[in-house]
Amino acid sequence: MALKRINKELQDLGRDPPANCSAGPVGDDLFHWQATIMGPDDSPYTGGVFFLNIHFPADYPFKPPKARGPRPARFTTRIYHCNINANGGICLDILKDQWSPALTISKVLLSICSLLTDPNPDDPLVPEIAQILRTDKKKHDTTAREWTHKYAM
Amino acid sequence: MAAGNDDEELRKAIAASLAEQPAADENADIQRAIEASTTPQDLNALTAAEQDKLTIEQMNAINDEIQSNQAMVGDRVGVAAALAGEYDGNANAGFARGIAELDGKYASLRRVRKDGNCFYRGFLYRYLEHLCELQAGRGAGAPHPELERVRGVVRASKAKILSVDYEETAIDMFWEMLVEVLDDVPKTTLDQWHAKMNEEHGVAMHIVWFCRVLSAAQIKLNADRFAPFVMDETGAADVAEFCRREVEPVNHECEQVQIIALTEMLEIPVAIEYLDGSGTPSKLVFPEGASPVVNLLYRPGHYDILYEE
Repeated sequence: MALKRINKELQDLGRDPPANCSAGPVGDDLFHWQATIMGPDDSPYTGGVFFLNIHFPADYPFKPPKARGPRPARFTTRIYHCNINANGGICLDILKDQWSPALTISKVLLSICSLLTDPNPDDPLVPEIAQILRTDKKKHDTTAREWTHKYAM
Repeated sequence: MAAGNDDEELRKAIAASLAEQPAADENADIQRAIEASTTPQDLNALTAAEQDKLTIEQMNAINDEIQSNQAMVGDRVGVAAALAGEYDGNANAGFARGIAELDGKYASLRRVRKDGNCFYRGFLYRYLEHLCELQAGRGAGAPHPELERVRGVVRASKAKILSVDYEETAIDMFWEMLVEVLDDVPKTTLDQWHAKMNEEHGVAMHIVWFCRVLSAAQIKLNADRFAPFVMDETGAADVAEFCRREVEPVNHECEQVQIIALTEMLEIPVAIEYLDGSGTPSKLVFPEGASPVVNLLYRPGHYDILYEE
């Protein structure tokens, strides 16, 4: 069942890809995908291309897409963001307890794009970055732009 | 230490702590599993990410534990026999009185797995069981009118669901399975139905989750009417957000709003006996005044199936 669903999602992505995102299998293994997100224009990540690593569990879509092991899907490009840590782990409820089979990879990528535009400092994965975002947004955005240039271009 | 080793060690610790538990009382087991799986870690020393990971591991371990100990839907057993043991020594005598009263009113009970899906699972199990009984009474002839009716409702539900912004890719498979299960009712025996609803990772998990979509779609289709019942603590009511958080996730427990929505969507009434220790169980019927075939027993946090005869 997982494979049937993953195939359907792949077809949908080919037919109607979400804005600024792409995703597809790495090699022949349909359970292992790579996704890319273009940094949104209205964010300090604009111009950057961010890669993500996605593994579908055997009981997808009952369990969320993951990275290796039990962790949710993750970034493989470094990014300066209070909800994304140095290992690329993403703090997003729909990748954890708010996951539901009604969601698709396409919706997950769109949610991650929204997170890039609107970071959530109230539920940070990197409290230091959240603190800077709250107290000095200009400084935060400058650093985020620098990291984008350094790692994502 | 490399992150991969952390995972491995944590898994081993949880597996070890679970292996040590005697298989006595299910709930006590689960409680012990939670406690045991947290003790090897100093929670304060963990980062947010590690705590998240631990939470996910724990949730998985608890779910596995429930899965290995509880049938998805059990056999029919006497009401008093099934419940008395659980409330032995309970300081609140209201439970004993309530159980005695239920025992007089209902012939038997089926336990439903305590995994957050118990309302949907119990509801679907009992209703389809009833359909199989109705159809068996007619032999292999024409479908029973109630079967015809609900098949029509379920077939038509897909367009309604898609109209409230669900992706066809996400719901198609689930809808097809429920349609197929209904189409198969004339050739399904009660034993086959029971087996199907107890098959791990099979049709059951799909059609049980689809009940969540049916419920959520009804809430979204009648957003104005349901809005007052889905307000958050700030008084804001966003039905789509409520469905996303409280209805669609796989193991999320059910409140009255979801029950009302599902019974409306399928036009299948349900009666619920509330046993909360106050003595006389109170019975609520959705919608009011109906005479349901589906009778459920609610105890705080859980639903089981009741049979009048």
